[in-house]
Amino acid sequence: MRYILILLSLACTEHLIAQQDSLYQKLYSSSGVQRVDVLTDIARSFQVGAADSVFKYGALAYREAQQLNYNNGQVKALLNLGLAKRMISQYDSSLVYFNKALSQCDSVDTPDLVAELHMGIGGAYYYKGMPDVALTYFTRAAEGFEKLNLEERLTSAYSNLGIVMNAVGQGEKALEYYRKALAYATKHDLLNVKLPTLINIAVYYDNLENNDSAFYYANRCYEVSKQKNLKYAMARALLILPGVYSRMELYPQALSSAREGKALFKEMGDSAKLRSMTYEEAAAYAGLKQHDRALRMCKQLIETLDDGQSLKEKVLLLASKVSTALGDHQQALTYHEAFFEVYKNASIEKQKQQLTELELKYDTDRKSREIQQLADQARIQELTIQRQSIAIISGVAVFVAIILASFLYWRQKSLRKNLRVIQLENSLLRNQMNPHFIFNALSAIQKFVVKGDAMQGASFISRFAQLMRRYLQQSRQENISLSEEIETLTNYLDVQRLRFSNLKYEISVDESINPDTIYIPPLMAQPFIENALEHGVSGKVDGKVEISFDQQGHDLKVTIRDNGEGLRTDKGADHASMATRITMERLEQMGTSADDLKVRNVIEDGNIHGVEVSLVLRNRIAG
Amino acid sequence: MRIALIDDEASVRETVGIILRHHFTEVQIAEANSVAQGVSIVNDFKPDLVFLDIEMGDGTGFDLLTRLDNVSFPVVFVTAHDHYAIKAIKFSALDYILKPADPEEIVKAVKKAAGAMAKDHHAQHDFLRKHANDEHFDRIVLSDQSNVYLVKLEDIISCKAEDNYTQFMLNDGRELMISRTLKYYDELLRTQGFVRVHQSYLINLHHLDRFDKREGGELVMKNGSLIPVASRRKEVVMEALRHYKAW
Repeated sequence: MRYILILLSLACTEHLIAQQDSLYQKLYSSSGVQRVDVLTDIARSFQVGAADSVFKYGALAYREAQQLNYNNGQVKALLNLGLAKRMISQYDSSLVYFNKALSQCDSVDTPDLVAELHMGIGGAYYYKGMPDVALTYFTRAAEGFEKLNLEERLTSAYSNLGIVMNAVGQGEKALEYYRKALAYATKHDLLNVKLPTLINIAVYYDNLENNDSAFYYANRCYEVSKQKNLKYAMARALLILPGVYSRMELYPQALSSAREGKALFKEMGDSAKLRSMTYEEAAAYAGLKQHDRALRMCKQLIETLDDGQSLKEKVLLLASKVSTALGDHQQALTYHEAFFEVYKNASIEKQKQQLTELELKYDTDRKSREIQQLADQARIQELTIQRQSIAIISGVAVFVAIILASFLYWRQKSLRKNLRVIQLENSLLRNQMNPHFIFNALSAIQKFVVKGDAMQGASFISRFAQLMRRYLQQSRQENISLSEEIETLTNYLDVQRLRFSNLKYEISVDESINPDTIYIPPLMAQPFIENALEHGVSGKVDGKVEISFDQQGHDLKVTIRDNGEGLRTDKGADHASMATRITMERLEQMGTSADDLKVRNVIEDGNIHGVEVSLVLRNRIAG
Repeated sequence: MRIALIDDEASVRETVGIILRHHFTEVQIAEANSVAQGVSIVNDFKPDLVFLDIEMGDGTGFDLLTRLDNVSFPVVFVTAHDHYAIKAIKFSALDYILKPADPEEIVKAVKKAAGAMAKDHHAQHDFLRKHANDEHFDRIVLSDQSNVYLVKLEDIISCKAEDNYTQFMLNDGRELMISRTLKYYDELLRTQGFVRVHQSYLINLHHLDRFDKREGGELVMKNGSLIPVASRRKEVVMEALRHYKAW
């Protein structure tokens, strides 16, 4: 069917060439956007055959349109570039131009260009051997032209749709489009569509051996083209007519049209079609009972034809028929046998070809399947690798994240612990240096001063200073020896004894313990001793505090016992609870349990005889 | 004069006792070392002045006051450190002394008590008990020679220094002359939305209308009164104003 489309282009050659001269003149007198349009028109004028010129002017128009930022000019130029590529059978690159144009094209502003591009794309697909895709684009193009009422372009679209419908085996629909195309072509006197369409319809009917219709359309084409001296179209019509005439047994007409066709094809140098015409001529002679002549022509043809050509079968069959008519049955048999041989070979060849095609197809399919399979495998492998690497990367990332998180957690924890330690140090110090104690101590010093007891005052000041020094030092130390702790306690109790003049205290250390070799956190017991003083023995005449350090296996047990009123639960116990809280926290920091600190009333004979606090420091004694 | 010393610290009692006897020959002193003992000596001894410790072994000075039926004598609180309770004492317009006691303050307290007419301090003590643990106050006790006023902080427009007195300008137009320095109130009220804008002026930002920058700068209060601003305090005023507005 391809030749029909080519015909479609060739038919308008003369009409367009006439335009070119005036276009060149216009080109020299125009500029800017107008010049781009002229360039486009020139490019279009070459569409009848000179692909290189179409490309040249298209490219020129495109460049200038680009410089001018003239979008429609660019689109039109791209359309021409696409058409140029299509003309030289570079369908893929033509599609690239068309699609680029389409992407730059506004379907609202320039629907005509869009439809035109659809036409171009449809054509490219048709030539590529994809009529089904072509059908979609031609349909869109036709819809576009219909909306715009561009009947002339619609004519071409319908024609193309007919051709494509035929290609996809939809003969009746093809006929419908042909008829539509024909109607518009006739209305607008578009010979370049009308003539090929007539031929197309004629071919359609010819294939169906609908002789009347085939004759009608072929003859119409013949007459119009003869009148206008359009030889190519005429020749096309003549290619059909003799056969139709012969089938209608109008042999003289068959003969004359065959001869006319022969002459035309001879003139056009198309020897293949010339031989077809010669066959038609021979057939006509046979119809006219001029068997000798027919046979002679057949013989000539047989010699020039190769076995593979389908015309040879026809000729051999005709020769056999003619020989029979001449009574030469021997020859008829020979021709028939030759025919059969050619036919057989042809069909074997055909079958072989079909087989080969099938094999090829199968092979191609298999290959492409294999390729697909390999590609799939590669993809799977790639994915697997990707997945593996993702897994590895995620694994590493998770690992790093965990490490980082643990590090940060550890650091945070240790920082927090450090902070807590510092806070504890501070609160410990604050607790020891509690203002109540300090200012009361200062008040005691003041007493010596106002009493004029200078020596006692001096001694007290020095003891107080020594205690402050110890606090400042020890609150920063993690551990001090038990002997140091006892010295501090003695210092503290001596200072307190100046406030509580009746205070008695006793510090006892288990004989099994060497206080110089045991280390404990500083000031552990002091908050409880202070509680005992402030809340236990304060105001008592015979107030007494006993402090003892005892060994319990590897543990050191500290006991603070007073002979006061016992535990109080009212608000006066604020300071007490704070001291206890700080000590508890310190104990927790050391990893001991709440059981290690016990505070209880000392009850004897059912009466409360003070408070006993016991504190166990784990693993303080070696051996 | 009969003076009661209530403190669990023997050295404090001894010291204050020595100082008192040194300055006042006709002084009679009773001592107590706990809340319980304190209640009984106040009832028996009927002192003209009480030096009262805040933290004692068996309770606080406030507890002691609660346990008395009628407190017709002046109380001077004695405390070891700047305890939170000091703030409540200040807002109650009651007197206090910090340990170790300054002999001068002790003398001043005695002289003040001797000069003052017997006055019911019940309202002040009541206020103190209610707010002993408060951080923020919306009222303050202002006490002059004859009256005890319970004033809402939001009703105070400004305070002006008058020698050792402070004049309070109130929202309802009243002006109170209180025998405490402006410095005392500045320290007390600066956390309650008051700003010292001038050597002689403390204002309540709540009542500030605008800052008139003309003529060296003057503050216009909402009631129309004008307050001068010290030139080197302008920044502080502006800053306080911004902070106040934002808050």
